[in-house]
Amino acid sequence: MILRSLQTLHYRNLEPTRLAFQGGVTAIVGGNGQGKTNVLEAAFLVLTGVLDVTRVETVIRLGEKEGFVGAELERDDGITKLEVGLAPGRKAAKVDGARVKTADLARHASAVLIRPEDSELVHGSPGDRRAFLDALVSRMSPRYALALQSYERVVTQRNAVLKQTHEDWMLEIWDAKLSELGAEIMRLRRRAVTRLKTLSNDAHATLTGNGKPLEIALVETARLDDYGAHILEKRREERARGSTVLGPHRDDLEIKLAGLPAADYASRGEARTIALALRKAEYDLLSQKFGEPPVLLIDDFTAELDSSRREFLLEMASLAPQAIVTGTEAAPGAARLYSIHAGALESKQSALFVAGAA
Amino acid sequence: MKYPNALIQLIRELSRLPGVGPKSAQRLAFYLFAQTKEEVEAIAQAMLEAKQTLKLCPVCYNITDTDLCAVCMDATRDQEVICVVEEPGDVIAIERSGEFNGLYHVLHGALSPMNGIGPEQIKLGGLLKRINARDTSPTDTAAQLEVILATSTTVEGEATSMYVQRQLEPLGVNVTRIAYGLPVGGALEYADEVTLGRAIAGRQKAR
Repeated sequence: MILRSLQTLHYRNLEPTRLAFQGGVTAIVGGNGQGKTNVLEAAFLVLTGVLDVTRVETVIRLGEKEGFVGAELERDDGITKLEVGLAPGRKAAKVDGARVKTADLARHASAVLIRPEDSELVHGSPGDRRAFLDALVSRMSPRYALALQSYERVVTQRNAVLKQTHEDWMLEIWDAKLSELGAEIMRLRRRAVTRLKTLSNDAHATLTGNGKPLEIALVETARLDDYGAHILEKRREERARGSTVLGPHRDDLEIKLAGLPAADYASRGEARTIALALRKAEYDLLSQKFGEPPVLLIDDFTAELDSSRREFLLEMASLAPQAIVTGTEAAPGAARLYSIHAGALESKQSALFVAGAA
Repeated sequence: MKYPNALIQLIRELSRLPGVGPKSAQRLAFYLFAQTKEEVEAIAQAMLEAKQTLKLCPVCYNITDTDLCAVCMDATRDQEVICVVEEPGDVIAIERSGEFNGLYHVLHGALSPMNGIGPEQIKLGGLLKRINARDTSPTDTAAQLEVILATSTTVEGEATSMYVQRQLEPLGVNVTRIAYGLPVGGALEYADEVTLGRAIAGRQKAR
């Protein structure tokens, strides 16, 4: 799919403009703090409904009350108009003028964002890896997104019961839903991880020239086949802690490199390679799901100093139907070039274009 | 410029209403100001009167302006079916369907421990009393009674439904849950996966 245009209003430091895009590689060049990442963040938001900030108001320009991001997306079956309105504490989405849930944007569009800080996925907490997995599976299966939302609510309600009363029957009311939703999430995660594993192994082998083998696996806390009984076994522990101790909200996506946990043993460079392999797998999975590749957004490729990873990134970009690549210099092979200064984008003739004309 | 105190006070009161934010409250306040004195008095009078005359039906806890609500008073309705709902608005919704001719019981909420709403905060005790009180001949009357659980399909509504079911089990009543399914007149392709899955699981023999 191809992002045809991106419009923003009061979005971070971006000047209100309508940017036109085309297929192939588009380079966005600018110094630090000029707003390169903001462009990609806005594009990712309108294409997926995902905004990776704790408070929505932080992306609205200071002094303004509301913000807006709009996009036109070209898919095999035509052009779709996507919109996200932003106000303190909430997001409102529209597809072709009709109100939808923000998460539903991911039914109509898809994008993969590769950022320098992705390597935190490897060295970060199990929660970070769960967030990566949840975000990915939610975009592949709307059923998962709904189940996860309900599941998290049941856990919150159930934890409140654990803190408030010691009566078992009060817990049992929530246990049925907990095990039903928990089991569904586990099944959908297993299915997704099986595919993620193969694809990330392939990408990792390409990146390292068949170096140390990568293994990813789900570490589950609950027994899927007798979830209900497992909950009962943990009653005492749950009472003592006042929280739900097992289930998908406590699981981890374990990453191993040559048999050792990457979180403890991988070097920074290895972690970046693993993260890149996972993003490539995400890209491939979403391509399969939609029957056409997602929009590829690469933030600051110039931060990648390792030549094999840099080549891998640029090759991914050149093979994608559309890639938007930011950096302090232009991505080689870019068909179009924008420069960004203090949030204002300006179209430049790309080097290729100039060379062609000469 | 600062708004006059009376205006600020009005906006503050209005914004306490459910679903009304500061902006809507401001709009409502300006609207009220633009009306004639008589019109504003009529609104105020209606609010006061509603507050003074309305109360909860002592049997089903629906909102009523008579001693017993219209449904509970109506002897022609099926006395053997009680439909349990979360809010008074749900009664109106079901009545509008025209499909139900039994009695109601309004819980005034759903279990939500995180908001401090436990079994004591919902009005279930009345239903249990009602069922116990009607049990004149212990052999078969209770078995004839059907209680339909029509709480919403949210996580909280489901938990409430399960809680009520458990409370009713020892009384030997026939407890049913409203069906999940497709909206009537909707095309299949627009239904979300969960609803569609439930609709398939809850399919019925073709008639």
